[in-house]
Amino acid sequence: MSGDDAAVEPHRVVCHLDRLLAEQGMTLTELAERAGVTVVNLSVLKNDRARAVRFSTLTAVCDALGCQPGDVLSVAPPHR
Amino acid sequence: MGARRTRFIGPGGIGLLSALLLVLGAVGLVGGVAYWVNGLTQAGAAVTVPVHLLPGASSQVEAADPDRVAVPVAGLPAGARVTADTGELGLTAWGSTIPEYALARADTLLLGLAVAFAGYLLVPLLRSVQEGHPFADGNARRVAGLAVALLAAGWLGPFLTGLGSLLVLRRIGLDGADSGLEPATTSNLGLLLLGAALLAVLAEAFRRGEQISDDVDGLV
Repeated sequence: MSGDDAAVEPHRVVCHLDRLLAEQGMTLTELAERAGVTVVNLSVLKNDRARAVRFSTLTAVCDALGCQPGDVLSVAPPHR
Repeated sequence: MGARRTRFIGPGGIGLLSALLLVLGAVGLVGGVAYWVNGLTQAGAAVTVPVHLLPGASSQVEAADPDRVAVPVAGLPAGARVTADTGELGLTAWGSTIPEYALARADTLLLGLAVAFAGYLLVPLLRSVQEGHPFADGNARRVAGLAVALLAAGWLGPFLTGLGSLLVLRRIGLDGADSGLEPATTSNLGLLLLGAALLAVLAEAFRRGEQISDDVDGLV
């Protein structure tokens, strides 16, 4: 697959922030304050609208939730 | 880093610049076209075109008017005269034709159209800069368009006016090698090409910027 093909195909990365926040009884705003990431960016991440994540963002979210990147993100199986 | 946060022009400045460009564009469009069309209606009257005086064609310049002097040129027919005005020579000849006037005023027409076109391109570009999206889709194409506008106004216009000079010289029989006059173009091709090249480089930078902007779209 060429780089151009990858750019037009939708990604299959799924974010589990919803579940992690519910498990810890934390709101998105609280997470934003603790992680130092804007609510807007966390909302984009939570709703699977992000196309890329900075390591710094991922690190801050994992630190705030006490989890690993694999707990926050996973790759869904192909649709076909 | 402090230097990266220095704002070179604020939203107010961009708004003012956009408004100025809109006014200039409107004046350029209306003024350029009106001046050109007005010229077409004056066919038959005197037309003035820029010319160069070839070396040896004139031995003296009569300073009758400090701002505008008559230049004696051998062989000028009745009704034609050559005058020097702020360093340029203007050949005025009666009995003009529509093509002569159309070409004689083509530089002003193209300058007006180029200013209007530049305003049309720059206003949305400035708006996207003001909104924090300098590399929005289409801005690279707009910058490239500015290079075309620059060449049209700076080179093509004077070239067409030079063609007008040639038509006038031919009509009054001064197009020969021994006439002492030749069509003049006032464009500085070197500077124009440099300006166009810089704009082309800027357009390429904007195109790369658009690619980077696409890459970071959705980055959190």
